[in-house]
Amino acid sequence: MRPNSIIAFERLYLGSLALSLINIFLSYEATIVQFQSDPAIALLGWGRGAVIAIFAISIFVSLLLWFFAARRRSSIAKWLLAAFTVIGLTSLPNAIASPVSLPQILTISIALLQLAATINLFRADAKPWFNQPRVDRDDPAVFE
Amino acid sequence: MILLYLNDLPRAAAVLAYCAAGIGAGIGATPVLAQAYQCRMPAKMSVPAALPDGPVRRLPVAGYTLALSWSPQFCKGRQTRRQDRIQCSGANGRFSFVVHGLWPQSSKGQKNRWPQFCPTTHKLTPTELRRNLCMMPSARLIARQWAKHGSCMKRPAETYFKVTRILWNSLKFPDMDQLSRKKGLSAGHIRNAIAASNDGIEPRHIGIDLGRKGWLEEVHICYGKRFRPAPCGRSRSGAMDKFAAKIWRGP
Repeated sequence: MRPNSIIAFERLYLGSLALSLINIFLSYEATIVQFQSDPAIALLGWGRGAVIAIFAISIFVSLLLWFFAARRRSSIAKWLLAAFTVIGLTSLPNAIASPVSLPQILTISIALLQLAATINLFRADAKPWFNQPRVDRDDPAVFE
Repeated sequence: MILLYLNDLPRAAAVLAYCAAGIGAGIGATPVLAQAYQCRMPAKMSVPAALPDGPVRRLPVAGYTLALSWSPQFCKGRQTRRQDRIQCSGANGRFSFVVHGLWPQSSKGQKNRWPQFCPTTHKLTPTELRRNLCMMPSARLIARQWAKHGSCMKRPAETYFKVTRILWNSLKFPDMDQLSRKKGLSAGHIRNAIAASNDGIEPRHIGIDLGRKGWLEEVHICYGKRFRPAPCGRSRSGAMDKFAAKIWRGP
């Protein structure tokens, strides 16, 4: 049985991922334009395909982190999520300062959801859960 | 966290780009501002030969200079010259600033130490040449800049000119006509006016090249390795702020 904090983390984190997907869809063309306006990226020869690849890799890594933190009790995933949250929050002042728009509101909401999600990983009931040895469900020793 | 990067892709790309090639992000998106007035280019162009007139120098790239030529000054007395027909005759448009070239630089403080004429298998095509004619209105100039400077960026010609176009299109220029009429005009005034027109570019990022008698010939914008504006240093700053300057408005 997973503690309430981990369940709350999962809901908030997957909710922020869902909002991120909406935001990607809404700001896709603007992102491409911004991407193609960067000379350092142009020098690498990266184009539209690279943008899609970065999105795909980011979603994949996000899902991996969720899976290992919420389903596999990985402390490494927990700390990686905490580090990404801190790094991600540094972009919040820029988002707040930018003109009001739906992508801006979504970006701020996503940041706050992620912060709330990550805090749950460090609550009192989550700590012993992460410290428990992981038990393989198919291990016959479980039923002995 | 990583999801936030999904909503800040240039930053994410910068991180990935930095990891992939040791190169970080550069400038952000800026509106295109055409410098050429009514630029019309010939439908077909061939690529002129650009023979090296100096030694091959393969040096590590530490930064870049975007050299901009003040076309009215360049065209003074060249209006009827065949080789400057596109830029100076008026038949293909009137030009203010044009790109002279994007020059990789080797390292700080070393005068005349830039990579040049690097052997490359990449070719400049007529299509690519024509694509850049409104920015660099001379086929000979484009071919030479590619052979001398672009070849040392270890990328195809299309990439070299794409980077050049991005930098060029990110720039805004002050009203040069008004500036030319300023009493007591100096190199510092030109430097400050260009810096004031461009967010992120400071006077120390701008080199001013004055010719004989103080006429403005070129403006150089200095960039670091990641294409962020960078101080030009003594070797690339050109005229000091106090030097008297004049801007030729054309005949």
